[in-house]
Amino acid sequence: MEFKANLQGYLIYAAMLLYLLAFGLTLARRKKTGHIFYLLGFLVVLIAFLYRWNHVDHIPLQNMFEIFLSLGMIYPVSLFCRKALRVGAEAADMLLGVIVLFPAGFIFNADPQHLPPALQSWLFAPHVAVYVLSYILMAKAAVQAAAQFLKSGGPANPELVDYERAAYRMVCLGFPLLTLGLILGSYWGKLAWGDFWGWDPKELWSLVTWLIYLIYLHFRSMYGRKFPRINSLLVLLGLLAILITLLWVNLARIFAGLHSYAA
Amino acid sequence: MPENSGLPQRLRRAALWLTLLTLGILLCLSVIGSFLGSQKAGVLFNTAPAVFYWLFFVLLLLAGLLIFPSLLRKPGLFLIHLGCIVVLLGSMWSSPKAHLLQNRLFGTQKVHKGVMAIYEGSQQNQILEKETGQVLGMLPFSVYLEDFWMEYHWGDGSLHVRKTSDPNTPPPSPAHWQIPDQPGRELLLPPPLKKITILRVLRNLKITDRVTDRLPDEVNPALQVEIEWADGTRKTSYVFPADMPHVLQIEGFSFLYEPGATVGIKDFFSNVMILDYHNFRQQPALIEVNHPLRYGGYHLYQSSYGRDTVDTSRGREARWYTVLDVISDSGLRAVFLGYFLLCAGVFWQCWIRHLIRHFGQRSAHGI
Repeated sequence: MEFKANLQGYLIYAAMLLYLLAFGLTLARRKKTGHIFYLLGFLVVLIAFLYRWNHVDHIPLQNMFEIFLSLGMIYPVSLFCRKALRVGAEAADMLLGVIVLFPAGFIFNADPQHLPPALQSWLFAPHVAVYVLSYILMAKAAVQAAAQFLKSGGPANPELVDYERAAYRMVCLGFPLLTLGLILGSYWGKLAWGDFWGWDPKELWSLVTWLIYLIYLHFRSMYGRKFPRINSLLVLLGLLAILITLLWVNLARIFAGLHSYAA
Repeated sequence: MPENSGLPQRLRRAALWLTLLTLGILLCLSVIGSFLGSQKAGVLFNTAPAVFYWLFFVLLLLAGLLIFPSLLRKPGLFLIHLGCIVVLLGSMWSSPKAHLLQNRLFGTQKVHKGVMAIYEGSQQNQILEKETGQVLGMLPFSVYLEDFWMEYHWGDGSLHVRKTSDPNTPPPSPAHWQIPDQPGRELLLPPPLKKITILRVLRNLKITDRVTDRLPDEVNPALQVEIEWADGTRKTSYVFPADMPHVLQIEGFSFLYEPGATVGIKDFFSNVMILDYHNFRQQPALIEVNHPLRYGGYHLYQSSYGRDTVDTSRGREARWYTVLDVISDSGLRAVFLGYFLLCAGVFWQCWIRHLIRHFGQRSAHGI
């Protein structure tokens, strides 16, 4: 655990504070003020991201610090999901913002790194960005699935869809991005390493994640909403696989592979 | 044919459960494979039982298209399932076992995967096994290595300007100025000069002016600068480090370049010539990481490099060699076609059809 006593660190801590204030105000039913703080928090993370970009001279999606920093830009996803899909839980999103910024602020090393030769490709930005976005969406799906497990039914706001349907909508939104990320990664692997599939631990866990959501979509097409708890369990398992893919595979030494530079 | 008629519902339900089971097996094998490491996992997924599993998977997908009319009716679902079939067939066709089968069936001698090492100024067409060095086969063409070089990431360097009348003045002093070696940086100077601007940072200046970095024995770093006089006259020149024989001196100022240290390899390059004796063709190509060369049914990748002493007509000489991965492209087009179909299907099913319906409803309501 380290305190980052520099501008980059201060921006992250400011964003965390703003997200926490937004969370507290939303819980205290001061939603409009909470929303303003949420927006401010996002703007601060955006500045931190752009500052990092300028500092390292490439899009900052190379290592764990940069990935978690980019995950902190959750606000636009929150807003889109509420307006377009009628999926709520902004308070949970604010908390998610704090949770993903915490490792960026206190755990992961922020020393700038040069891109190794394999990462100097036009596929670097779209491959990682698509995955980051899909992970945010799937995390939101898991929040809805967890709410379905704990409370069943739906939120008090009649404008929003119930938890099970919300989780399904989030998975439907995130699954194409997860698929695109997998395929872009495979295509890039062919260009950089010669194999479109190298059985690398990161690749295999990405496949595991994709398969879990695929099983979820098949199961839901079979039984619809007849077994909502099984549906929710599969969505939560999907998030667990994402966490393993993102954290365990990159950080644990037992998974040494071609993606080790991401740690 | 609607799905609630024709084949019994029980059969369709069984097929769906079989699909879930098949996906579940792949999921479990993937988890196991991740703990084995990529090499052993590759072996696991290419064993005889695994081959049967992949074939069964393809048959299940084909059966799905027959059993579930909705898979044919809905373009998104059709593309997804067709895409998966094409990816699986393409992957199987590109596997080592399929290469052996292709060689036996069609009398070809295509090698699935290997490496080739080529010294500068020589040609090669032998494909070797990566670990043992055993000869696996020959390429239908030869590769001549004209040149191999690397580019490096560099740490910060700086341009130093001193009054020649007082060259030993230790910095900092009013007679000494310095700026980082970044293109576009300017330094204002006292009359009769006005300013100096860094135009380019050259890591290894050659007469041909191509940047070729060959550490540690062939380095000639330099800054290309533009010097402007107070009267508006401009001149482009080069600034070298202190250990070089040429020191730029103008109007009582001396200019020195202090380059930064290398902090990692940026890229590798092999400048090759393809010599296709069968088709009487020569083709120049540059191979670098992320930019393989495709020729004659193979992909050639920049993999590694080295320097070794070899016997030449001029005696023993140290020469660079490049190591290229040589990989057959059989099945690759099918895999990428399958990816495209799968991706198009998933986006159609999950995004596009909903967007079309949404905007269709809005226009129907005159919104």
